[in-house]
Amino acid sequence: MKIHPDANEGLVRVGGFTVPFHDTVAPYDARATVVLIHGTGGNAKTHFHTLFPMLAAKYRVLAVDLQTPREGLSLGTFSRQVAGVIEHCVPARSVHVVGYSLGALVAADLAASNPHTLASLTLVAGWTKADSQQRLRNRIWMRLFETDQDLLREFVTWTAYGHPFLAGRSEADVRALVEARVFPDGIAEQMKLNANADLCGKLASITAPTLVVAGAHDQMVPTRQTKLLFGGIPNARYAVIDSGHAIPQERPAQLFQIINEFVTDPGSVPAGEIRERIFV
Amino acid sequence: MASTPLGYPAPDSPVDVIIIGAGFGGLGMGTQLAREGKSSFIVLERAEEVGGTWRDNHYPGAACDVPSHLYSFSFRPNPEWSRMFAPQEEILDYLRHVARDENFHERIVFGAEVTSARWDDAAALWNVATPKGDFSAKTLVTAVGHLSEPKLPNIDGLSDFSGSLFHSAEWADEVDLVGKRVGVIGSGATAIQVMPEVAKIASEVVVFQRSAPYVTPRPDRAYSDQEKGLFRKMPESIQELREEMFWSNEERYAQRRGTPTLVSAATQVALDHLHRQIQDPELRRKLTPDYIIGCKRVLKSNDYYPAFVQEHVHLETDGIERVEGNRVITTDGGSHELDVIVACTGFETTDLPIAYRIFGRNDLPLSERWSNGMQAYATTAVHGFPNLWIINGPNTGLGHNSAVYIAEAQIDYIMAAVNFREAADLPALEVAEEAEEAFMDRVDRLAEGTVWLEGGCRSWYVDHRNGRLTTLWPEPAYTFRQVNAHFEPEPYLTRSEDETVEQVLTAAR
Ligand SMILES: Cc1cc2nc3c(=O)[nH]c(=O)nc-3n(C[C@H](O)[C@H](O)[C@H](O)COP(=O)(O)OP(=O)(O)OC[C@H]3O[C@@H](n4cnc5c(N)ncnc54)[C@H](O)[C@@H]3O)c2cc1C
Repeated sequence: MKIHPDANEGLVRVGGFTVPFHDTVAPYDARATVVLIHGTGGNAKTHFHTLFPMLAAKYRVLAVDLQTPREGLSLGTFSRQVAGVIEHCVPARSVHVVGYSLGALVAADLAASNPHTLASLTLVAGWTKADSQQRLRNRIWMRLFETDQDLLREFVTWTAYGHPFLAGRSEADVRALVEARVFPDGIAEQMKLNANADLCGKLASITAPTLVVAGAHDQMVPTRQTKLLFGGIPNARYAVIDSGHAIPQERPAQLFQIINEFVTDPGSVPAGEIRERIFV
Repeated sequence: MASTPLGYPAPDSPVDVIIIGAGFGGLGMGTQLAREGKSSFIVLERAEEVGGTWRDNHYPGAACDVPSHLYSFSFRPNPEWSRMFAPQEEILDYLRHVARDENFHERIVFGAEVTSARWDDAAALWNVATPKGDFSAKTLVTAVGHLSEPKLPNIDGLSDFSGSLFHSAEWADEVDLVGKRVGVIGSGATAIQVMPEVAKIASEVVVFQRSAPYVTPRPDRAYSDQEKGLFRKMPESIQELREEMFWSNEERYAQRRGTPTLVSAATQVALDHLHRQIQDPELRRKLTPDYIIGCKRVLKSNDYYPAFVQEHVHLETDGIERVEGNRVITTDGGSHELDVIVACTGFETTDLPIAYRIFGRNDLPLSERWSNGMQAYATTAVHGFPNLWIINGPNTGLGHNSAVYIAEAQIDYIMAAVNFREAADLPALEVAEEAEEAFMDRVDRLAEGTVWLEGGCRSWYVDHRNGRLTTLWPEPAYTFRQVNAHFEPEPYLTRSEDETVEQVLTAAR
């Protein structure tokens, strides 16, 4: 099934890769375009199945399925794929780019190297350069990937979701989350990139109005890291969601509202501002 | 919170605000007026007790289906909720406390059914008639509910049924159901709460179902003493829980926009629930809905399906042809002998009785203004009806989240409007017709492509007179607040000269 009834599915050749995309373009489409970049081990459908349709009610949405080479993966590999898809689908128009997890690093890399393509940049659960806490998790992941993928499924579920989210679910629901975990081709390459990627030298050159979104209970990317992104990007604002790392799964509706408000008028919130909690 | 009662306003002189109805809407409005120190208001309530929905619907099994920490006022969190979905008595008790603790209980006039409310243009006053006397006010706020007028089905001979007949919202406590043969008409939100309870005591139960509902698991549980202690000691933990509940309800909104992937995931949850609980293929078939999920309210129950597995509970899917003596005759000629019929057949929602009792400028009845379906600017103001504000009126129903959240957004709007009118020293605020039409066009556009208009089911959400979505808000609840909670004076000032507008705005600032 398509991610959304309005989505055209297409392929673009970029470098040596054939990159799939999902684009809700309509004839004479003048709507603002939101570009979605997924994270490690995912694709547009698995990471954005709820966020995509929410955004599609208001925007043209373009989501990319990143392609991982057998070796030599870098942030540039991915950000060039995204740039290629944008150029093919939305030539000569500026777009709002939203990246999640590793996709946030790809989005930041894209923003640093193509400053004119971006109307705004939203970085959800992204980081600057893996610290010791993150590298420890990465090593455990690698070991389990090689030795015990059943246990890895449990480990990943435990680290991906926030403790309130998991605690609020029945054993059966948690088991279903564990069983739904898959490790697609290329995931180990992406995990290596997670450990080694380094945005530190690039953040200062990002000029697009930026929103950094953190999950308060994120164990994979603790808020210390999202705060560093906020600190490093001159034109950035900061918002926190009561979620673990899996923000698009745990709180898609809240994430949508925060992105929607930002994208509607990226300049309306001054740079450096910390977004107030949404009181309900 | 004020600690001294506000006192009763002088009887014969006009008050600033009259609120009609003492349910969630009216009590929320009263609380905000009281908290802002506005002492000139009264609440007119036709019954002898506060609570609205939660006073009337005291049928066995009555409970809310939005979690209680969310289905309550944000400005009055309650650490004591016993369960995730509190039973009716607890919700009623919560509402009784609101009026008392916010010090305006003595401003509620009980037994005061509003029979007419007329706008007097010259005096800029609403004149309101009730059996408890006549009252007048500068501002009239109606909060009479949209699920408060019980609707009985139109069935031949029903009123001559020789056993006991009553509507679920007018439960007859004096009728003992022990050992009785009971017919339950309907299979909506109320029926699925009522039926399992009735089945515990009745000798036989027949459910007359016109269309099968989607039923999903109900994640109900009691709160532990530790949790309640935490809620008391750290109120912010209630707020965190509220947010979690709110956003998880909002997520379900995406299903209503007809996204096939999400619709099928949601459908699967409901059908899995059915298949886990019902093994008999024939019963399963009859309980499988034939429309798109979300088109009618998605129900939550863990004990509805299992109740059908009992020998003495029957599901009748043939339509009811007529009632004769103590028998219900179905369209295929079958018949059920019954002692009691409980009509769980819902409420009058698209043609609200209060609209026939409110008369605006030139004595125009609101019902006439709404003869093609109800509509209001910002869901609360109607052209031709100055200083009238409607709570829980057109386009305020949600298929997926708390009605209290909606009422609170409207109350914020109305408070700002009332304050603006006073500050600007204007006799009346009346919304421009163009603004109202433009707002409705916007709502129509938002409703396009939603499951309610295109899901292929008949539901109370759509007004049969114009095919429009007049009861529901077609967007997420959060968007309701964004669009409808912030009062802007301009649409109320279009009949004034530009200069006057400037003066008014300056004066109000
Ligand atoms: C069984 C049931 C369960 C529900 N569960 C939920 C839920 O879980 N979550 C949810 O969000 N919503 C639920 N609802 C919807 C519910 O109606 C609203 O949430 C809310 O209670 C409405 O409050 P209200 O103040 O607008 O109206 P009401 O509670 O209906 O109060 C209106 C009041 O106005 C009075 N009144 C009416 N006409 C007049 C008159 N002419 N003169 C004087 N007084 C008058 C009535 O007597 C009544 O007291 C439920 C509804 C029902 C029927």
